[in-house]
Amino acid sequence: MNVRPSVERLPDSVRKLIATDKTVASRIAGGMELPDVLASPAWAAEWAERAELPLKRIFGGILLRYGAVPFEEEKGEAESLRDGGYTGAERRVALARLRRSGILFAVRKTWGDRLYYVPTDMVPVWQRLILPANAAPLDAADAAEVRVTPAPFRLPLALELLSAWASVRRTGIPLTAKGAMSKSAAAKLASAMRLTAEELAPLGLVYPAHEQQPATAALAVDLGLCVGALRKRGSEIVADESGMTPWLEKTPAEAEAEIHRLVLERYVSADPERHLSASAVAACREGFWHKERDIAGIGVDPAAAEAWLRMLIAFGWAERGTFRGEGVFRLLVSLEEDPDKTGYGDAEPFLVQPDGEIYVPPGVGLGARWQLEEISERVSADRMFVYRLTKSASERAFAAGWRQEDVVRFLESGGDAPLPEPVSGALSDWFGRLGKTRMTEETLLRTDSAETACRLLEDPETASCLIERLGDRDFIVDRAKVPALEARLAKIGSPAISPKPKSVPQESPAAGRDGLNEAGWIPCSRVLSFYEPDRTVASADELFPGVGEVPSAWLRKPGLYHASTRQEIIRRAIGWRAALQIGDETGQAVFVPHALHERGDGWEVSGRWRPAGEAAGFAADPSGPVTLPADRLGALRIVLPEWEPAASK
Amino acid sequence: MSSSLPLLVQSDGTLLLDGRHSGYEEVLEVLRPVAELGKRPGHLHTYRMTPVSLWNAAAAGETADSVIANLRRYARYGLPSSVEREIRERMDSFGRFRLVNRPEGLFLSADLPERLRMAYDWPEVVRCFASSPANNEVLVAVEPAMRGALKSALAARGCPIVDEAGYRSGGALSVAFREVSASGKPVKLRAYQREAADAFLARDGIGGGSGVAVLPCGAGKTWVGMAAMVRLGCETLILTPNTMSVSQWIRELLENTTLTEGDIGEYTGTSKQVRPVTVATYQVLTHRRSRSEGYPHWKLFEGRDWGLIVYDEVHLLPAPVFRMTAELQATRRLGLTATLVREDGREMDVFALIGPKTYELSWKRSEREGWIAEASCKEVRVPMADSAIRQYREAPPRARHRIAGENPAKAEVLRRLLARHEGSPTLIIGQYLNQLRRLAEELGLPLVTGEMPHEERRRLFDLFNRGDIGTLIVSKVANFAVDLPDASVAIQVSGSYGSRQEEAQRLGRILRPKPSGGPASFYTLVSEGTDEVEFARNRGRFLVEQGYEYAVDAWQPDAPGGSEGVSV
Repeated sequence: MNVRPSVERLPDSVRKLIATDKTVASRIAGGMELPDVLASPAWAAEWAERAELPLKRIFGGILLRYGAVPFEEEKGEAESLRDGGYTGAERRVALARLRRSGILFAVRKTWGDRLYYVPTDMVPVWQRLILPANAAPLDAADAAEVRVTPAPFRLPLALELLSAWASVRRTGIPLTAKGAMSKSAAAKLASAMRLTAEELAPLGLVYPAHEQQPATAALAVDLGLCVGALRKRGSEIVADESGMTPWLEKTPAEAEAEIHRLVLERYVSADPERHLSASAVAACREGFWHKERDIAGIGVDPAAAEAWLRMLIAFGWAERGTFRGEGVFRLLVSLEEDPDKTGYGDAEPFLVQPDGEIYVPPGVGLGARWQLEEISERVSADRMFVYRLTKSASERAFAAGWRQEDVVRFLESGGDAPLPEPVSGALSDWFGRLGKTRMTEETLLRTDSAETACRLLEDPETASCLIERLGDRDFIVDRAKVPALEARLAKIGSPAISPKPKSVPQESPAAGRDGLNEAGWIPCSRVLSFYEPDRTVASADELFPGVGEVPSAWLRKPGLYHASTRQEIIRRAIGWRAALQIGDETGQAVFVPHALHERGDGWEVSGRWRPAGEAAGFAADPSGPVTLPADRLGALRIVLPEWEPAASK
Repeated sequence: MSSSLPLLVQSDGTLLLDGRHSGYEEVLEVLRPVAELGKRPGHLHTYRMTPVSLWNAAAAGETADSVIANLRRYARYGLPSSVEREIRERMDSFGRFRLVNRPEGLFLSADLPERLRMAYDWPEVVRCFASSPANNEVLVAVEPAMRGALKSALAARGCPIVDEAGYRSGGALSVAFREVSASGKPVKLRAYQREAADAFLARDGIGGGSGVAVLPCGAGKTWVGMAAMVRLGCETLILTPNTMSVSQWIRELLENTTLTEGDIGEYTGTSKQVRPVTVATYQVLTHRRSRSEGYPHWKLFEGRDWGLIVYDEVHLLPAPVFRMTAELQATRRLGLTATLVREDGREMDVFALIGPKTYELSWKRSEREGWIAEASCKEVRVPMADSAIRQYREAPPRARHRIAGENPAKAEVLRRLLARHEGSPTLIIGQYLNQLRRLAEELGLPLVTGEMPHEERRRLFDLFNRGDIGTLIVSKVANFAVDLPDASVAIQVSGSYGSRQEEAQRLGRILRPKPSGGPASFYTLVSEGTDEVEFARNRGRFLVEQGYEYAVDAWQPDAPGGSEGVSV
């Protein structure tokens, strides 16, 4: 789930708690709404700058392990214990503090378990702050040495999809009784795409009839439904011209960025390492070569980073190469909208050639491309799309409501030049033939005889409803006046029986625009909106049950205690999964107790020593698990993590 | 399209060059060695890189690195990696295999033993070898008679051979250019014709031997052939697409060189002379009585000790001639054409068996230097009378084309156009003899058809060339190689209109530069409301793609002031 719907669902108590965070409070005081604050990269950057290192490290670990995938508190603690890094107590406190800061969100499953999650759309923001890739582009001299790895040409995904949606517009996609796409229509749609099902395989997409139907078709339909280009109508999927309008107003660069976002949120976020890799890659500068190892350097498995780069190539968004034996990549399109860019300037014009071919460079807007798909035939879809005006395309355009002057106006405006004479001549020839005849459905008033027809004409009120007499006995009726005519005919003693109106298939409402939940064709792996938002943030008592009952000295400073008290202190620490500060003759150290073992008449405690200072939290002491006999333990203190964040103090 | 770089590279190797860009000419020089012009309508000109065009580039000394660097320098949106790979693979493949002559015989050499071993897996290649392969060898003996077959087979496998095995000299022939032509004009090669001959002869430092010169229609390809012949001084076989072309070659040779009638033989359906210089048609060479029999006229290839074979209009070379050519690899071969693009896609055979492109003259340069006339192409829509259009609509599809083509109303338009161009040498071209005869009668103009004896045809053409006849009506035979250099107006009254080759040939007839320096005019009369309109649109598109202006006008018979109603 993304941050805004997550914030919308927050109970007031939690909202208020979050609003007390200094970084949030100052922004709210400045007039921002809470959802805007918590979606703001600037706020996130300030939080990251202020947060203590241990908290950031725990958060980094959460990001690496879960990304946007929801996780249970207990599971995380168990993993923490196994790793031997931070204690369970520190982790529990960190989770609570991250929630209080509006970074982590939580829902309650039906049986009460709490699920934490980082909002999907905030994962890239946090990755860059907490796990930055520090990927510097190669300089020009080095870049000149890069050998590009050959790969089949792929269109940037947004353009690939536009072409696919255009083919849906022409033919629609019938759905089977079970709700799957018709096999032939799906195959046809897939064949219109360069992207292959094999290339999509690593995403592991699951959708209706996924064993039989190509993933490429499912992807095209899924994203089409998400952006509103397609919709379900009765038992078919069709293009949604009105739903498409906002999409067509985007520049190709904006569309690519939006598709990238959807791909990440819908298909990638379930795999945390891939999600983080994708986020790190997307932050790289378009057109510049970067080293692949810089991406893996954020802490993900290099294979995950590589798998994502392969996917980017299939989506036409990147290319790979080698630089002095090392893998490098570069983005061919910008995968993120630049918030500093206000618009991308005017769309580039296309070029209408005198032979009727239309050359469409990459900067031509989606709207123009969509219209070209309707009025011409696509010759090739490449870096430069090529269309051709033809007689049959003109007939198709006419059927879709285009008149010759519309086509000419559109071509001259989109091409920013008058049409070449042979082209305008050809359009004139082709359109000139059209519209001279047409098939229409008219409402006919039929009479039983010429006499009846004449009698009706003698009644001025009836005659005013009739448009044209056909032969002796029939009339074409003004459709708007049918009720009036029926009433009049009934009144003058010749009631007419009208045919029943045709039944119109029910249309499903347009797809939701948040693009994440019910909308789409490919179900998302986990739908958090099914669960209730968690209404509480853990208190100290919940984090450390019984903390109010223990002597405060146990928590304040190391002290020498009787063996039985020492044992109780250790049991408390183990129960809270907290560390112990142990002071012996060699000084003080932090020990993380795991278990207490009775040994005959004595006892001992097993656990790990914890490195001090900066190294704390990265991992356990390399010397591994140790067991301390009771008599080795000197002064003791339970170390509970800071509960109040530094920023709030 | 106003961005800073003029070239767009598509992933399939298509190159789009912005003709308005200030760097156009510069990029053109970059593209010429590596790509073939596809079309040049409007501002965006289409070139194609193909395996053969890249081999041609490699043969001309280009490297993959230089080609890639050049394309990158001008490519607006970069170079797709698939294109870069294709360039490297194709260009790097050139020169891996070489044919060399040693005292022991003919050998194929490879750059690596494994490369040769790879070739042993290909049966069509192995059958050309004269010895069994040995491991770790980079040399294998080749049957001399299989030289062409081997080149063709390896080219088809994507491994073009560099043929360094040399050529025989052929029988000596004393021939030179005259200083003044038989008709009294100074004889002088144009610079590009000399460059084309130099490129053919000087290639690879062994006196040249095989290659193709590409020159636009009307640029005088015959002169390049004559120059090669004069420089080599050897007996020469010239192969052409048809008898009209044979006549033209013979006339040019007699007019401009020191050869006499006794030196030149005509080898066609009606004449079988084999002389030191023999001009034949592809048709006669490929003639045979039945499919089961051999080609009786192949003996012409062995009829004399030819030192040079010229293939005129090499893009029309029929398949059997390739087979013959495969056996003639020790003879120097010069291909002449306006385009390397073949309708049958056998460009690879042209490369392997005739030779790589050795020279290309761009349209731009020939236009700039005034070697071909500017042409204005106009289609005139002529309405059909009601009765004719009814007849047309009721007719079976096969008959419709003729009814539209023979539209009687075209006669009046023709008359007006002739009046408009009075004084300009004009050709009227048609497909249907009945129509042409009727027009000849109505307009009192001489008609040349295929049925007419050669002497009579030649007499009429001579009269036309001398200006004694202002207008000639010619049938379909006029499509090919009629040498009517001063014709400046051509009017098509009927035709197949769909054939691109026919169109190019017809237009080519009037592209020679005119003494007046004026443009050539090319009209096509098309019956309104018939299928001719769409057929004509196809041919019109072809002409536009070749870079000509093309306009459509409607004929208005009742236009005031006696005007023909078309803006001619």
